Amino acid sequence: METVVSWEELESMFSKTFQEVTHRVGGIRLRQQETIPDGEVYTVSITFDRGVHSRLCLIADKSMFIRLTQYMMRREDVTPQDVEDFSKEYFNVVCGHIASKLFQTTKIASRFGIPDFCVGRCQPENYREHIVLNYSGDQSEGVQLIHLLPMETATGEWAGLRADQTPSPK
Amino acid sequence: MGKRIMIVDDSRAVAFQVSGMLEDTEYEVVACCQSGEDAIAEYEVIQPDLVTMDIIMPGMDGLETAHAILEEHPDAKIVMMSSLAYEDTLKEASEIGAKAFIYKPFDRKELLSTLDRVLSEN
Repeated sequence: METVVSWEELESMFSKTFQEVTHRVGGIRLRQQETIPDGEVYTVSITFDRGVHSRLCLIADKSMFIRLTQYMMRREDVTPQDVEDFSKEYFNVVCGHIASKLFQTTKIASRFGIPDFCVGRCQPENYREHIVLNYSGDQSEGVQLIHLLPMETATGEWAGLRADQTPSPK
Repeated sequence: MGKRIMIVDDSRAVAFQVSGMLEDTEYEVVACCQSGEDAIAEYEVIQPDLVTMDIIMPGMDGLETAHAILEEHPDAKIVMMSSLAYEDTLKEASEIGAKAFIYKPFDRKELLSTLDRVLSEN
């Protein structure tokens, strides 16, 4: 079965879900704006490897990940290992909710793997940017959510999901 | 002695959060396993009153692990936990014999009410 999802629908679903889960899990309110995170950043990412084949990356200021970890652990004193572990768990929940929302729209059940965490901006090779969303946290942290597609799906075929993959002209 | 809980999750964060939510309750966390293989071995030794089980884990996933434990211990009480809640996953968990499913993120109230309910069932 071919399912058509507009780029705008996908962008809206990603953004709404990301903002809701970030507030609920991490206590951080995000607002969309065109500021790209710079300075000291971390990346957490997940590969969707069944159903929808793609990758989701979150790149954000280190301070955002630390604040998120402090909120989740209910304490101020956190170690770099805490930040890695809790950021991965937070992003696991974000991706679970995105996969559930995607299923409601497309009836395609996506599965994803274990989150990766790295210091710096780490985007995998052989993927191209599909949706890029920029936010500012409520303490002015730069946050970027990037949905990536494998290079070989450049014609628009996306593991059973056929999506209009470019934004409509405004 | 409190009711003995075993947490199975590859994420140290979840073990930390669940343990924190169960502080000052009738529940006692007696083991935290980060893989399905460890959980099967540990279950034999500890025989906990209840297991909380993540689904997405490296190696054996939570459904496979729950199935393996329940084959050997049909009375085991297992509560699945995941951020993914497809109908087929819920159905599979139920068919395997899991007693409940908790959707992440969850709060203390939700966790305690689920554990209370499952452990009060015969």
